[in-house]
This record gives sequence, C-alpha cells and structure tokens, in this order.
Amino acid sequence: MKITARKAIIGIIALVVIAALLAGCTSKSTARGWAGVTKIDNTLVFTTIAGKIYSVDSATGATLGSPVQLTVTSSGGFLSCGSSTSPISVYSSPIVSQDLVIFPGYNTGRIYAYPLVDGKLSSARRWAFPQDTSLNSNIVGGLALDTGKIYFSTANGMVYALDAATGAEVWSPRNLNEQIWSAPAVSGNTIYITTFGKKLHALSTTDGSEKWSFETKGAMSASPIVDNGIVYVGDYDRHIYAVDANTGKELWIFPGSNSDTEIPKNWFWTAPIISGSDVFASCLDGKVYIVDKTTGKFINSVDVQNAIAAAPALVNGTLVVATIDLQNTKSKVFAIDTTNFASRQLTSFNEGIDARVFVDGNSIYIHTTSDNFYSINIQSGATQKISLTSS
Amino acid sequence: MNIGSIWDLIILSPMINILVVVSKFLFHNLGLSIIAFTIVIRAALYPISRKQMVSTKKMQDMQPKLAELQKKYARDRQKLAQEQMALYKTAGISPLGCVVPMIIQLPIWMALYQAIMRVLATGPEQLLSLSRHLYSSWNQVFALVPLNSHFLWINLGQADPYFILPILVGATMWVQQKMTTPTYADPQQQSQTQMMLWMMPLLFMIMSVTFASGLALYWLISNVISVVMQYFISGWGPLGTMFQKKQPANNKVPAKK
Repeated sequence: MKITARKAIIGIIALVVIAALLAGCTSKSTARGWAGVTKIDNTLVFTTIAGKIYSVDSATGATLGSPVQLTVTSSGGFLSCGSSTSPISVYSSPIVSQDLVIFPGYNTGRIYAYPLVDGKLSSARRWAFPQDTSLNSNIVGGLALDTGKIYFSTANGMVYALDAATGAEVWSPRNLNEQIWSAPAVSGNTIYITTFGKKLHALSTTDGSEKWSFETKGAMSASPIVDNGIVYVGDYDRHIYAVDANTGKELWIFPGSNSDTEIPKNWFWTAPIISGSDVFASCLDGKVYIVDKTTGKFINSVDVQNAIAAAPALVNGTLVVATIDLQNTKSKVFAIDTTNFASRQLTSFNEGIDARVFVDGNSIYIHTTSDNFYSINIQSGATQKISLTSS
Repeated sequence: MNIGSIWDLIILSPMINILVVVSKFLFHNLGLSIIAFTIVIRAALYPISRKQMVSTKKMQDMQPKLAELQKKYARDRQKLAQEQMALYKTAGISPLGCVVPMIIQLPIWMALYQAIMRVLATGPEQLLSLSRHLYSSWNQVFALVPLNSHFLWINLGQADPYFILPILVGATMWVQQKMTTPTYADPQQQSQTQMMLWMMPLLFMIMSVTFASGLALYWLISNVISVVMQYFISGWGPLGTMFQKKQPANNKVPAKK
C-alpha cells in the first residue's frame, strides 16, 4: 500500500486525537473516599463510594426514604472527555448537628448540609459552603463540631470556622501555609490541628489566631486528640507525642531514649485513643502500641498483622481495630481488651477496610473498599451485610 | 508471592526509597530528586543505551546498501534475506542489536515511571499506598515524606497549567527523533519516516498536558540526556543538515523500487 504525504498527515492527526482522548480520560487519579458511618437518634447514615447517602433504621436495618445523590458535574477541561458526572468523594465520617448531616466533599472543595426529617434524608440541601463555588482545594480531613460551630481545613492549609446551622463563616479563614489532611480537634476554646509541615497548631476558636505551635519530627495526617489538658498525636516519623494543651510544651515522646521499648515500623495514620491510663496508638506496621499516658513509657503491643488505616473505636473497655492488607483485598476486625490487652479476631473480609470503625451499642459498622457495609456483633463476631436499597 | 510482589520487592520499592532519600540531599525538592535520579539511572544504563544507539546508527548507515539489495533481489525474497544477513555479518552488526538493549531497559523505565507516580502520592489512597513501600530500617525516609511537590512554577502532582513542560517534552523528543531519522528519496518511505518523526513527540506532548508534571519532567530530562548521548555517538545527523544550506540530492538514501 502506498502511503502518501496526505495519508501520513491524516494518520498523525488520527493518532493524536486517539492519544488525546485516552490521555484525557485516563489520567485522572481516582479519589475513592473512605467515609465512616454516623448515627443520629435512631438513624444510621451511610455514605457510599458510589456517591449516595442512605439513612437506615438502626433497629430494623431498613433503608429510610431515598438516598441523596452526591455527584459533581465537571465541565471538562483541555483534552478531557468532555462534561462528565462523578461521585463526590468523602474521606471522613459525616457529622450531625441538630437535624443536619454535614460532610466535606474532597473533590469539590465544598461542605454540604442535608436535613434529616423523620429519619429520612431530604435531598433539598440546607446549605453548602461556599454556596456556589469551590474552595479551590481538596478537603481530606473531616469536620470538628463544637458548640454549634464547624471547624475544618483544606489541603492548601486554610482553616475555616462555620456556623453549623447556616453554613455562614464565623471568622475569616486562617492560612497556616502548610498542607493539611487531618480533621481538627476542639477542646475548650482551642482548635488543635496537625499538618504535613510537621507542626501541631493551637488556634483560638474565637478568631482563629494562633496560640502556639509544636514541631514534630514527621508530617502528620492523623488528627490529634485532647484528654485532660494533654494533646496526643502520632506522626509519619513513627512517634507519639504528648503536648501540654495550654502551653504547647512537650510532655513526652514515644519511643523515647529508653531501650526497653518497641520501635514502630511505619506511620501512625490514625489518631491515638485513650482508655484508662493508657494511650492506644494504631500503626500502619500492623501493631497497636500501648504506652502510659502520663509518662509515655512503653507498656505493650498487640500484633494484628496487617496495617491499621481505619480509625479504631473504643466501646466499654474494648478497642475495635480493623486491618487492611497490602493489596486492599483482605481485612480483619479485632477486639482488644484494654485492661489485659488480649485480642480476638471477630471476623474477616475479602475486601479492605480504611474507613473509620463505628460502634453503636453491641454493633460495629464497617465500610469496605468495595463499598459494602457490614454490621458485626461485638461479642459473637456474627457479621451481616447491610442491604442499602431505595425504598 | 506473585509477580507483582516480586516486582515491588526487587525493583519498585528500592527505587521509591532511593528517590525519597535523594531528596534529602537536594533541598527536600522532589523536582531536583527526579532530575538527579533520572540522570543516575540513565548513567547506569549508559553501556546498554550506547550499544543501542551505535547499532541504530550502523543500521541507518547501511540503508543505501540495503536499498540496493532490495532493488536487486526484488523478485527473490529468499536470496534477499541471505544477502541482507551477509551484509549484516560483514558490517559486524546484529539486526536485534537495537531492539534487545531497548527491551532490557524497558523494566527500568517502567519502574522509574511507577516510582515517580508513587512518590508524588497525589491523593489519600496513593499516599497510603506509598507507606507500604518505605523501608522501616531506613529511619530517614519516614521523616522525609510526603515530599514537597512544588518545583519552579509547577506542582509536580498536577499538569503544567502553562503547557511549558509539555511543549519542551515534545520539542526535545522531536529533536532526538530528527537526529536519527534518515531522509529518503522515495516519497512513500519519506512519508512513513515523517509520520514517525511527528507521532511520538506529539503523543508524549499530549500525555504531558494531562499527566502529573513530575512525569513530564522525567520525560524531559530523559530526552535531553538522549539528545546529548546521540550527539556524541552520531553528531546532529539529519538535524544538522536542516540548518545548513540545501544539500544536493545525492545525500539522500536511494529510493526503493
């Protein structure tokens, strides 16, 4: 076959168009999301990866009403596949304020509030922040609720305070100039927030002004927790810190210089949990490290074999921990007795778990990487898949 | 252990950890890390790359003789094949000489591409995945991640908003292609080579427009290194003649009939 110059040019154009379409359609990184379960009165709220929020009767397991659709339409930029609709990704558990279910959209850079009426979610959104635009940054961390105000941050380092009822800004956003992927913690009149810039910041709830900042050895995406005037936080450099909540002064660091300790082998991806006199810090190395909350001295560790990416939950002296394997295809759920550190496996899945574990009474609720929800009995380990339907 | 795990263990994870550690010595800058790492990998692969380039050059130099053979034995395919093999043997080159080195390098390129994508960790899932590749015995890697993805005017985790990097990727790739593309007198062959000359640069330019800039930076540096290496092996080649006064037609490879 003779290839003429004209045919060659047509061939080039055809290949370029195909390449443009392929590149434009495949280059977007997938933001799956890992939203945990939330409860309001007798209603459980499930946020799916597929972009829907369901309300479910906690007693019967029946879906209440129709799900709210969480989708975003992109207009299509240069070399994209044109206008397309995709799910809003959520990387935290929604919070509940009065009759509102409020959550951040990762890929939209907005906060949304939907009312729950008689246990049913209304698709008539109460408010969104910003109302019509975007904050032009992803929102990875969750929301913190305190006395009718919501505190959150965007990945580009801005910290916001909103009125939970209306979505109105309480004070002008504060720029920390550091990447933030964590949810703030609020205690008293202080917001505590961790950053990739290796800083724990303490800001005033009144106006967002900085009270103090504490420098850590590694970046942080885990939220801090505050207990009895002490802030506890874990970092990527495999340390747990206890910091005075009022002054920002370091009280202890684990592992310290003592030789009688175990050295964590990976990041602390989730916030530590306090039970009694101990700090339980879940690590991506597959262990839960237990240290004395007053001294930071190593007490014990519980080996659960695989990474702990999902935030654990504490209920009646039992720490519920979910693990995830390297390929996101297998997970196990363990119950750890916080008094004697004995662990027992409750159940396992052929799906990963990276969304926060939620406990309600004797039931544990799990959201898997395959977008399935399960309830697990904390005593027997009996597992039931939750069927989400549009009634 | 499956093939993916073996790949991760012996190729991908070492590259990721080295890339992270290198950043420590380059002002914690991922852009400089990518540049340095690409240079180091290309230097390590230099003997193989050189062999490939030399073979390609020899093959190009033989094109007039091959064309003559094709003309002479146009109706006897078996004899043509025999004569071609004899010609290769006389010249001391193997027809696979330019293909085999490329195949050997492919896994390294793939691993480098994957390592850069993993280290960029543009989303939460990607960052979580990165944690699984870090060596717990290398204390420093944990304090270094996530790396600063800002370099010059670009965020290495996102496409270049000003299209400067994609244009540079396309231009350098075109220069590299042009240096090794012979000019044929036969319009059919010339069309084919022209198509190849433009196709790859355009493809990579388009991919650079949509993919993370970190990857485009890697392609750019890799292209520049290839151009430099090609220059020292075969000079500017056809690119040089482009900027000279029009040459007589006898510089062209004879046409096939």
